[in-house]
Amino acid sequence: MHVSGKWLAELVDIPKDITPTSIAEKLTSAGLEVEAVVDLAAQLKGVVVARVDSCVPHPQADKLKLCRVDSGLPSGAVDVVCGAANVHGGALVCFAPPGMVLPGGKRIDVASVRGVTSHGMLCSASELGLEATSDGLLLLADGEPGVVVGAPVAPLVGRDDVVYVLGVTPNRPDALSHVGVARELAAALRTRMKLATPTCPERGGPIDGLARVTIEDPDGCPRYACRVIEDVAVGPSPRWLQARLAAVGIRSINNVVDVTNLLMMERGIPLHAFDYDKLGKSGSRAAIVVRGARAGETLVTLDGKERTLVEGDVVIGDVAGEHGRAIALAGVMGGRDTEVSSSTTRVLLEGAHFNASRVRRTARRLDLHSEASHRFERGADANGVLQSLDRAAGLVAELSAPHGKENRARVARGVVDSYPRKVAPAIVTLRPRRAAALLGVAPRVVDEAAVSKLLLSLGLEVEGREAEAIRFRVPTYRPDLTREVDLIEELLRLVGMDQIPSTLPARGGEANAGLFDVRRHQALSAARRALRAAGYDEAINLAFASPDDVARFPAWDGGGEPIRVKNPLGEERSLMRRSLLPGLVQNMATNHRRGVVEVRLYESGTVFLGRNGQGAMPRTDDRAAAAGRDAFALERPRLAGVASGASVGATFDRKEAAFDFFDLKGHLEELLDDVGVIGARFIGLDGAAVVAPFLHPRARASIQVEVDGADVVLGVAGELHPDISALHDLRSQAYAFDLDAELLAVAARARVRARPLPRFPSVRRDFALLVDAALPAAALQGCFAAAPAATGLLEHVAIFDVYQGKGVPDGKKSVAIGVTLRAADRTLTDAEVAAVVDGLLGGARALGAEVRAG
Amino acid sequence: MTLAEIESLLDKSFAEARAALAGAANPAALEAARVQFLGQKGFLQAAKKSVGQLASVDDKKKAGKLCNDRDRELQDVYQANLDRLAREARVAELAQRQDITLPGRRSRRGHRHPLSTTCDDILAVLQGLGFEPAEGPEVEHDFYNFEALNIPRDHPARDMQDTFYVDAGGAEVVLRTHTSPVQARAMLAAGKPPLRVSCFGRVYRKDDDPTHSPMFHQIEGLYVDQNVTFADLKGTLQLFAERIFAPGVRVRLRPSFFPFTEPSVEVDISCFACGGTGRGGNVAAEDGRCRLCKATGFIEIMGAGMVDPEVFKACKLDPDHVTGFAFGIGVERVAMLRYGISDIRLLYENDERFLAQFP
Repeated sequence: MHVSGKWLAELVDIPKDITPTSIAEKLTSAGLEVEAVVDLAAQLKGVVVARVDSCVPHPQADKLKLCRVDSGLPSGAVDVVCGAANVHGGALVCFAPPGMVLPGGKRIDVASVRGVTSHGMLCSASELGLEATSDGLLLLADGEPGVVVGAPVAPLVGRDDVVYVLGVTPNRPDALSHVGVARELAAALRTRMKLATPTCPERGGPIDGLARVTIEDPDGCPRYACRVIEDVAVGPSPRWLQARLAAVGIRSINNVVDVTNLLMMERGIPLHAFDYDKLGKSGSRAAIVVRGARAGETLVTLDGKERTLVEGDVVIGDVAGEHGRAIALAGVMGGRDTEVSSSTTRVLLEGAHFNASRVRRTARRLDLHSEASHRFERGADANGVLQSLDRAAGLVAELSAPHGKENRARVARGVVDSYPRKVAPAIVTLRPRRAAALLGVAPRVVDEAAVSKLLLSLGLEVEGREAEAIRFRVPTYRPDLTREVDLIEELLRLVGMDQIPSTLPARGGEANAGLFDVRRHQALSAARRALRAAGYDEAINLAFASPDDVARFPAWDGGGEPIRVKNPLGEERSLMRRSLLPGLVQNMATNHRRGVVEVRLYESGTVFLGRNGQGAMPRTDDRAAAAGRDAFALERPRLAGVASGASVGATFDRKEAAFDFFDLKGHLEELLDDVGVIGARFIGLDGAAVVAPFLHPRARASIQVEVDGADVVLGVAGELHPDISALHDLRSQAYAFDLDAELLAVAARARVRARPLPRFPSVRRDFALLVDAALPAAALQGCFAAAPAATGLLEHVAIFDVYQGKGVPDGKKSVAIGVTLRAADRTLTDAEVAAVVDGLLGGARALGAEVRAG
Repeated sequence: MTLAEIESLLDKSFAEARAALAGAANPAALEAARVQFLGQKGFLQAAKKSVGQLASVDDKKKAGKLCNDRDRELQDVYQANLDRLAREARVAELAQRQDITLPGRRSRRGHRHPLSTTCDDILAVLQGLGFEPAEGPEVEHDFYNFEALNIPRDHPARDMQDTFYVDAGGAEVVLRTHTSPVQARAMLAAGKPPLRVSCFGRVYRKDDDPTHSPMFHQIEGLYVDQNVTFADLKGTLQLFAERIFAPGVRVRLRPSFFPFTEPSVEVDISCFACGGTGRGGNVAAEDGRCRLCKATGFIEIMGAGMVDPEVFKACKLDPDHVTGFAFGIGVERVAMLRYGISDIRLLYENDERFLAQFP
C-alpha cells in the first residue's frame, strides 16, 4: 500500500514540525510497517520550468527540432534537440539539465544529436514518471501559479509529495486506504481527523426509472448499491487527480475510472463504473443481477482475457440474451463489454460488498489479483459503501468537463441499495483489569477512563457498562476486532510497547511434554563429534527425493510406499526422502564436478519410510498419541555419510594413501566406541536379509549388535556401487554408510568403569599362518578369542600383515598375527606362554591353517 | 729393563703421548691416540709390565708410582679432550636448523554446518532460560499445523501455492509450515501448565528463489502458565536477544499479526553492523548507509506474541485460566546474519569449500 503524504495531510491534522521520518516511525510503531519512504520531489530535483525561445528544424533530420531553451540560468539559454511534435517557440516546458537522472533511470548528458550538440532534454509526462505513456512534451500553462522560468517542476506536477510504502498485515483491511491510515496516524499523534461526510448534488431524474438490482446470491454479495450519472464526458483526468494516482502507483485511465480508483485509495472500498448504455435492460431500466456463476460460463475481463467460471464464483450479470450474461467478476475485475470508454455518456457506478472467502477463491483460481480483490479478500467495509458512492458520483459529475462546452453531467436522484445481509457492528466487552493483567502493566495505565479514551480514538464507541467492564461498539471497518483480546492488542498499540515493563517469569514446576528423546540426542551428539574428528563435514540437504532416488536407494530396513507430495516443486522433488544417501551422493558429485575430490560428508536428518499405521488421523484425546505417535508418516532419524579421496593426504615428505573400506570401517568403529555401542560386528551382505544394492558387492556390510538378546541392525556401510558412481560421474572411488540414530541410542550401553593399571608384564608372540584365501580374518581372531588355553590371558590380537603372491601357494594367503598375553596376578613363565601358544595354534590348525613361522 | 731405562721410556714417550691426546681434533683421532698410548700395546703398559721385573723393592715402588702418575696425568688429558670434543659436537649439533617453515602435517578435520551450530546455540540459550527442547513430525496433520493454531480454512497460508500437501487418501496432511504444531502437541501432551518448551526443526513452504528455500529451520519458544504477561514476553525476548547476539543489543517490538497470537509483535534488534545508527559500520555502502539494516538501524529477526485464546481452546487448555507467550526465529536468518552469508542456496549445496570455513 502506497500512501501519499500530501493526501494524509488533507485527512488529518499533522503538526508542522513532524518530519516524514518520524511519521514513518509513528506508523511503524502502530503496526503499519513503513517499508520505505520515497521523496517524489527528489526524483525530479533539477527539472525546471523553461521557455522555448526559438524552435527551428534540425539541419540534418526531418523529425527533430533545434530549440533555444531558457531555463533561467545566469549563463543564458542553451541548445536542445527535441523530437516531440508539440514543441514550439514560446512553449513552457519541463527541462532536465545535463547530469540529472530521470525517474526511469535515464541519465541526461550533453550529447551530439546528428551533428548538433544538445544540452539537456525537454521532458514528456512519462519521462517524468507521471504517466505510463505520453504523446509529446508536457506543456505548462502560462500564467498558472508557480509556472516561472527556472522554477522547480515537481510542485507543478503534483510531485511535491512523500510516499510511504506500507506493509499491511492481512488483518487490517482498513489500512488499505488513506482514511484508515489517517485514522491510525491521528490516534498515534493524538490529533484529529478532518473528514467531511461527502455530499452528492443530485440534479438528474429519479434512479428508480434507470436501474434495478437483484441479488440472487446474498452469501456472495451481502450488499449492492449503485448510482447513475448522465451526460458524462469521458476524457483525461485533471492533473491533480493524475498526480495523486501516480503518487500511489496507479495508472490514470480516464476521469471516470480514475475517480473510482481515487475513492478506493481514499476509503478502501473498490468501486466499479459500467457504461450504462451497454447494460442489458429490463424495460427501460438497466437490470443488474448479482448471482453465482454458472459452471462453464465465460467472461472477457478488462485485461482482454477470456475467463471460464466455475460454481462458487460470484458474478455481476445483466439480462442481455436469453439467460443474461456475466458483465463483471464480482470484487475481482470488470468485464470488457461494459467498460467505460471515450464514447460513454452514461455511467452506472457500483458500490458493493462481497464475501471475502469467495473473492479470494476466485482470484486465486484465476491467478487474477487486482487492487479490488486485494481489498475484498481482506474485508472491505459494507457500511462505507454509500458514502464512497456519493463522493464518487459527485466527483464524476464535477470532473466531467467536455472540451470547450458546458458541463451538463448530472447525478440521478437517489441510490439503488440492496442490502439483504446487514453487517452489524460487533459489541465487545473489555475488562480493564484483564487488560492490565495480560499486558503486565499497572492497572492505572489501562483503567476505565484511559481505555475509553484510547479506543474512542480508533472510532469505537461505548455501548454500555457493566461491573468492571465496558461494552464497546466496533465500527465495521475493523472486522479484526471481535474479542476482548483483540481490544487488548489495540490498547497495547496505543499505549506503546515502550510503556510495557520488562519482567522475567518465575521458573519451576514445568510439565514434561515428553517430546524430546534425550538419549537419542546424546548418542547423536557423540556420533557427530566422532565424525567431525574423523574429518567429515556436516551437510544439510532438502528432504525431498525423486522417484529415481527412492528406487536406487531403498531403505535397508524396508519401509512402505514413499510419502508423496501432492503439489511438488517438480517431479524431482515429488517424494519425501527415504534415505539421506541420494542427497549426500549428489553433494559429492557436485564437489567432484567443481574439482574438489577430497570429500567427507555426513548428514543427520529425518527420513520418511512410509505411512504410520497409527497415524491416519490426529488423536488429540490421547496424550501419548498427541506427543507424536499419531504422526502420519514413519519418520526415522538417520545418520549417513559419504567419503572419497585420500585416507591420509600427501605432505612434503610422505605419500598420499587412498581412502578404502577399512578407513570407513575404522571411522565407524570409532563412532560406535564414542556412542558407547559395544560388540558391534560388520557382517557381509551376501545372502543376508538386509539389502543395500547401492553398495559394491565386494565390500558392503551390515552393522549389527546384540541388544537384549536379539540382533539389531544399526545400518549399512561399504563401497558405493560402481553403477551409482558412474551415474553421478564421480571422479574417485566413494564409500558410504547409513545408520539409524534411534537404534544407535538403543544400542548404546557402555558405562565407563575404570580398571586399575596392569601390575605384571605382558608377553607378545607373532605367528605367520598360511590359510585358505577365503578364510575371513575374523574367523582366526574368533578362534583365538575362544581358545580355552588362553582364557583370561589373551589381552589383544592384532592382524599386522596379510600377504598373497610370491612364496604363497595359489588359493592361500599368509596372515601375520600378533598376540599379547598377560596374567593379572603374576608374571607368565615361558612354559605357560608356550602352552597358550600351542593351544592357539591348535585352534588355527583346526581351521586349516599351516604355521609358517612363530 | 732397569729403573733408569723405565724412567727414560716414560720420559721419552710422555711428551709425545700428551701432545697427541691433547691435540686430537676429532673423536677418531683421540681414540687412535688413546689406543696408541693408553692401550694394551702402549708404552705405559710396557713400562708397567717392566716394573714387576725390577729386583729392588724400592725401584719397584718408585717406578710403579711414576707409571701411575704418568697414567693418571694422561688419562686426565684424554678425558679433558674427550669432554671438549663432546662439547664442540654438541655446539655443532645445536647449531643445526630444520626448515620449520615447511607446512605442518594435519589430520583432516570435519566442520559443522553453520545451521546446526546456530541451531544448537539458540537451543542452548533457550535451555538456559528454562525452555526444554521438543520435537514433532515433519509430515503433519492439518489439525496440528493449521486448525489448532487458529488458521482458518480459507486462510491464504493454507493455499496449495504456499503449503506442500501430502497424498494422504482422504486425510488432510501437510509438510509442516512452521514448528508451531509442536507447540500444539506439547500443550496437548502436557495436559496442564506450566509448560516451557523450545520447538525446533525443519519446516517447509512452497518457495524457491534466491532468498527462500522450500525447506528451512525454525525454533520457537512457548511458555504457558497462570498469569503470564506481555511484560514477561518482553523481558524474555530482551534476554534471549542479548544472549544470541550481543549484550546491550536493543530490542524493538512492533505490533503485527499472526493468527496464533494476540497481541502479536514483530521483534527487531538494533543492527550489529552499524550499532543501530543506520550509518557506518563494516557493511556500509559508499554513501555511508548501513546495508545490513538498510539504514534503519534495526533488523527484523523474530515474530512473537501472547498465545491466542483460540489456540488454548483447541489444545484443551482454558483461556480463562492460563495465558502464555510464544516466539519464533528463523535459523537460516540468524546464521546468515551471523556469518555474513548472502545467498541462502549456499547453505544446501554442501560445497566442501563453503563448509570448511566454519568451525
